[in-house]
Amino acid sequence: MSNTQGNSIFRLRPETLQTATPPPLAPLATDRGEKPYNRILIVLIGFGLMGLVLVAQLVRYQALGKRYQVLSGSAAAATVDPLLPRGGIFDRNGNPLALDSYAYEIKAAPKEIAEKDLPAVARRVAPLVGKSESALLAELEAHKTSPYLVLHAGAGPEVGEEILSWGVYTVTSTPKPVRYYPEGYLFAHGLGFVNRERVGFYGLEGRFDGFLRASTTTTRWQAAPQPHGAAAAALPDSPFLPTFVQQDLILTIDRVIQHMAEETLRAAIAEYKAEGGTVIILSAADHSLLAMASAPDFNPNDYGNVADIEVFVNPAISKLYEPGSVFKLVTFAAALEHGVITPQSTFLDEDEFVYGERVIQNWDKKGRGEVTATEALVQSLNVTTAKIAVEVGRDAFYKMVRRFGFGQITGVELFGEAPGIVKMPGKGSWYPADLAMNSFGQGISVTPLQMANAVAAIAADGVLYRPHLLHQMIDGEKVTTVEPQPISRAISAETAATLTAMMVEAAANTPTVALPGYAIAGKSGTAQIPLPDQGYVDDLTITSFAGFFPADDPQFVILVKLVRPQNSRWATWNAGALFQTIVRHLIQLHSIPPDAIRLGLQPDTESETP
Amino acid sequence: MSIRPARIAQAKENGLNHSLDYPLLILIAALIGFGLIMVFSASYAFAYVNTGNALHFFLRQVIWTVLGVIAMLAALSIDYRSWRALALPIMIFTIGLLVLVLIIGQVRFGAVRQFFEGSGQPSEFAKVSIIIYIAAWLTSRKQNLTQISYGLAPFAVLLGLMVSLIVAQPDISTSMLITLTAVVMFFVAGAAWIQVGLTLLLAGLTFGVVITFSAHAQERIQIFLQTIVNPFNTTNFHLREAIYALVEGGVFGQGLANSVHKQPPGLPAVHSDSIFAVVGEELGLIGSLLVLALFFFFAYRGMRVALRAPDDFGTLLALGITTWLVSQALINIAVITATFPFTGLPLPFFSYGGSSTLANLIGVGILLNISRGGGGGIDLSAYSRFWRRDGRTRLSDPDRGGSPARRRRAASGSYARDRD
Repeated sequence: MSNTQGNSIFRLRPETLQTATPPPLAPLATDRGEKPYNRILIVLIGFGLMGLVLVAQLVRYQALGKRYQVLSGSAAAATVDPLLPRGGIFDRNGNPLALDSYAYEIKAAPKEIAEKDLPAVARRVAPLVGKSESALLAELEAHKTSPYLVLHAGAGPEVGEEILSWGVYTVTSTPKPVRYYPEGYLFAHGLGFVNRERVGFYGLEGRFDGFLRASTTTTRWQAAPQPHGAAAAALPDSPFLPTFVQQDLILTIDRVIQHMAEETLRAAIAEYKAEGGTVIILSAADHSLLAMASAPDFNPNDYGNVADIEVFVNPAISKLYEPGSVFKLVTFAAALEHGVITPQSTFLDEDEFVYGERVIQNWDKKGRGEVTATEALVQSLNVTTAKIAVEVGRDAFYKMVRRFGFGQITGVELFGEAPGIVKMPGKGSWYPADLAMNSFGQGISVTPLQMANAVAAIAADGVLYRPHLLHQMIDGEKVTTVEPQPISRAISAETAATLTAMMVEAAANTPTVALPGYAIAGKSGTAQIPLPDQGYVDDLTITSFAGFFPADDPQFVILVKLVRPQNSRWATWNAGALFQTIVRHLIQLHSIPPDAIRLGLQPDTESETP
Repeated sequence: MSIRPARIAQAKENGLNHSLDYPLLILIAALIGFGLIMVFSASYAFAYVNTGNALHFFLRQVIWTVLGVIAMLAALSIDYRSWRALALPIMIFTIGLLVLVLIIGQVRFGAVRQFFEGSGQPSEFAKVSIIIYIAAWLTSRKQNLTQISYGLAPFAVLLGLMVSLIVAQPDISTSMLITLTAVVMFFVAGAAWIQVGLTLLLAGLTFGVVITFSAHAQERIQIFLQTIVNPFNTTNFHLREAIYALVEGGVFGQGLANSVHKQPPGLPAVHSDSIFAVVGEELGLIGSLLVLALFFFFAYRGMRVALRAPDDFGTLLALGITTWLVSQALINIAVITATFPFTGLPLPFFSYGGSSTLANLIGVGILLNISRGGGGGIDLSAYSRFWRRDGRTRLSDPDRGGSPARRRRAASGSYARDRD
């Protein structure tokens, strides 16, 4: 189809083939080629199709836009007024964790001020912006032709409101809401931060960005009824600021417990020379989070000044780790639930157990001979746990893993939760050896909150709940209270009670954890950290301890996790000690009497029943 | 219908008749007028806050438009075939400018793109000269175009050389636009389908590499993917403002000059790259569809000029100019509607900008010259026909007394009563 004989690059009409090439600049000269109609038509059709896509997009925004926003739940974001303050975030006792206040930008318009008026303006404005009269006059004269000159970037409400009340355009005051976190570092990972463009990122600020921007506003610059809402008290009483219905979040976090958790974690990290760590404290009564602390953390008031933006990511819900022996609780729960073991069943604990071409050993590479199931959990024996898992069977084991909530997000009201990695049988990456490895928490990745929540299910008679840290959402008059929300039953109440008793044994035999007078249920875990090219390295560990107390009537579920502690790589030492410190603090804060006194004080209802 | 034997004879001789494309000229006038109104409306608040003069940008744009129209008339009066002979010198000059801007240009918006305080962007003129050069090159290669070694390979090398200079600024969006235009020209010039496929593949790979190694580009692609799903929650502040402006506009708009998002600090680049969002907010869906319709009509007229051009060079040149302006408009609108990754291309005839206005109007001038089949000098008789096409004199006639309504009022004596 190439026309090697024609003058034209386009196909020639037969009758024009003999026409000689005309001189190049002759008027209306032509090489009379047949024009490429089809190809140009294709180009036009291409433009047309692209145009149709744009028409569709424009119709989507401009004809359906407002409805679309309502559907996508971002109506509030669409009508955001740059002057509106964001809603506040408060702890369970009403202490503010995040608030808006106003800063006033004071500007002059030297160009609009008559030359003779400059001294008078300087005299009146100088004391308000904290400058001397002569300095201000010099500054105004130097910028005589400028349309604006910033005199004070962030003045307080007294100065700002005073200038606003003058109502002149030569010296103006512009209020701008500024986000403020009164507690600084406290609960930073949970809160997130608000950037200069007033967009919330990470944590609650990111997750509830649309909600926290107030939804309803009256016209700007009008005297109007005062705003209401819990955070409004922090705002200046001004006729110039917009009125609004504020939307606040009340959390289940307890400022005091959160502070205690952060301080003890910080001390433990310093003492054990760890790289980081996490503490989660859940209320066993309603499955709400009382504290969620991680280190290293950041100050949301100064979010721009961090060395590495990775620090914004909340390790408690977004960073995966291999839980190690704490995960044995799931294996034992499955075994008890399916009647494979009782606490007294005996097993032969050998030096090595080979399963699926993988050699399983205990931490000290020594077998213990004949042991009971309880002893296996107390001494955290990998060999026996793997044998139990094999006896439980592949399907029943992984079903239990899912029922405890692993491999799926917990649904806590935070931004960026990770679901964890659970390799399931039948998928390409799963090998039979994984069953034995997973039984003691290696080769499986979870988040600290998932692990804490699974332990909370044992404390709650076997029912898995959705953990929550939102107590109330306040939208003007409308208050939505978050209730505890059961997801499903993981194990029977009997299994939960049996497992709790075994956990009490385990905790009692951990000297760093055991506390005279209090029955604590818990389990330690030391997981080796797999490195990409070396596999598991003995010296790099993540140590953790998860448990609850009092064992007979759980009030607090606690998980502590330390990353790469240097002094001792075993959880029974460092994580156990941190766990015990937190338990001691909680006992003090909530005045929990020792078990004997508490149970003695309670009326013995069972003996009174006939 | 009057029969004009001379025209018919001429048409017979040439296969087509060649007279200035008046609908295209009227369309251009409409686009320029519409664009100037929008530049004023979009820029006055921003201009007042930043310079103290609300007319700052508008007046500059008026001056550039006047210069542009002069340049357009000049281009219109130059036989387009002379560009073919000048293609190489123009190209060398352009490459020189591009190299110069890399060496001494200023950094603005994170890229080195211009001379003289933002009023000279050589890559705007590069668009015109590259199109001229490619049209000349493709015409001279004619028969051998379908061979890989003779057609595609030199074409790719040529294009790669020119585009890489612009990528280096870095101005990825202009490079993309030039590549797209060149590929369309190559395709219409008679490239085999496999060549078009290969070229697209090569272009895709090149931009893949650029995007992989440029954090600037990568970030924008990521934001785009996030945005296309839920444009209302994009983290790109610029895009969010633009979309909210469109949504605020609704079907009928807020009314000319009533945009809220243009008020600083609001929509960034409000009178340049984002001006379409202001059109959408002030004139609504009706206004934004009108802009699309005007550009589609431009595409149709431009392609018509290409098909009726007296020679291959004219066809390719008209095609190239039309493709450039229409694609640039479509990409700009696609960016503002979150249909395309964020990039800074101005909307032709609307966006504020000296070099782009000048370059666009030069391109249009060449296109208009092709529509009248080349020929030097301005055909004055064509102008007189245009102004007097209805055959009536334009002088006001006091005896006829203006509009029918006024005549009626005058006859009934209502004027006299009004004065009492």
